[in-house]
Amino acid sequence: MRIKKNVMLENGDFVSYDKLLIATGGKPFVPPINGLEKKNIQTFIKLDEAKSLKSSVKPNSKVVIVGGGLIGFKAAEGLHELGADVTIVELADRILSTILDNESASIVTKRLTGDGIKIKLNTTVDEIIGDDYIKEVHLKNGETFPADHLIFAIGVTPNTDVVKGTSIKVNRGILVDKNMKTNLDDVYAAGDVAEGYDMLIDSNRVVPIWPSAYMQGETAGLNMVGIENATKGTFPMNSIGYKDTYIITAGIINPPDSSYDVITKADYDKNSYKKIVLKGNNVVGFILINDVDRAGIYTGLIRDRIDVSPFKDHLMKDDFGYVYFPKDLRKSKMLDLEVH
Amino acid sequence: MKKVYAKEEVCVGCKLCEVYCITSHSRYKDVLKAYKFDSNRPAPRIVVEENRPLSFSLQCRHCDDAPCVKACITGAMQKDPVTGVVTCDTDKCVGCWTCVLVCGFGAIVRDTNNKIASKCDLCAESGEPACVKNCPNEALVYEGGI
Repeated sequence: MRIKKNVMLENGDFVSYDKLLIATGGKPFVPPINGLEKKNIQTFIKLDEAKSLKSSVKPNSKVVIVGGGLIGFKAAEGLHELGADVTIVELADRILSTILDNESASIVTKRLTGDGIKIKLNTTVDEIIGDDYIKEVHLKNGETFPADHLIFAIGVTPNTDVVKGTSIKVNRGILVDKNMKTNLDDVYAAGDVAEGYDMLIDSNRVVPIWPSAYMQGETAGLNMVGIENATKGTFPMNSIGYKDTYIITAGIINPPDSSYDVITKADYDKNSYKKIVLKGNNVVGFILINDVDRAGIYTGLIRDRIDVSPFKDHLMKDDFGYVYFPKDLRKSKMLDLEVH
Repeated sequence: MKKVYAKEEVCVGCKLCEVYCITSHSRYKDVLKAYKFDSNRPAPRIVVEENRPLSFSLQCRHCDDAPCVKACITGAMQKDPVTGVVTCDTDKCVGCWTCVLVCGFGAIVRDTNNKIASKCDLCAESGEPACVKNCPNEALVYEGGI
């Protein structure tokens, strides 16, 4: 049986396709709580949202940010610069919990609280109180405090609405193989909507970051035009900062069990922290705080699954680099002798 | 494409490549003036790695499959489709350091004063990389591949 390949648009029109890519991205998650209809409550995903916030927030505005992840963190930085009184409410026991461990989170937390940003951990918003406009926020831990703006920055979920009611397989995101193809022939998905292969956990997961989206889109595009291309897989990686505090992390940063080795080094005078996570002879994750130069060398070790046993003892050195690599590895990379 | 390659066997670690890289990217194209008068003296776009007796200089490899270009969140990092040279459009760069996160060579330098990513452009203006031209030991060569 020949299947008709059409997509239906919102206006009822049909468009036929040979190959289809679903790249609908993510949508901000807003929890179902009382008081969502009050004014001055918003998410922080689009440029328009940032602009409207900037025009509405005044110095000393009391802003509550729900979620101390990547989005909430950057929102806090911008709002603090506008002179707002910022409170971050985070359900986990630390901010940036997906990319930091306890120690690095405490360094970053100190920098924020030093600027007067308040951070409330292990709790979340229970109810938003006010008439037309938000006036107060009530937390699950029982606290109530005044607020004139609230930002939901809990994260994004794959925007899979468009495939609802179809036979396309969805877990958290649209499930794709290493060619970014869904369970249906000729239908592909990439980016924040897709649940693709993560090379570090050896299974599929949603990694809603730009570098992954780019690679997935490229892989999908190549396959869609008939050039066979399988992705090696992606893994989480983030570069983010708060003013003069820099954070670069990648891969598995909080190992789930004792089969991993962890090396750490901290310099509290410089507020720097370095953590490397190894599985056997491979680097599988790292955290760098402030001392972030040349971070990509570690990312490369993860990406290329380099056996680091010959230079494991040098990984933490301040001047760690290619000079500590075995000669043949160094030359193959620096002199373009690698066999592709 | 033509790139700068290091011959570690003959590098003495004098770091003149750094000096001339700075000079080449300074408003003054003169060593003394660049160091003496340039209030906004650029950072070297070269890393000299040393673990005596070994030393060599390392700069952007202008990768075929450049991860920095793909990861750049603003489109500042571009690979010229004709010459293959990877350059950072500093007007577009916002200093997020995602390129620093993904460059496997650690060849992208953070210019924190100007909050922009700084990297080897093979001295596009002058046509010949200053590091190669001024290496006293010919430990750097500019060629099509070794």
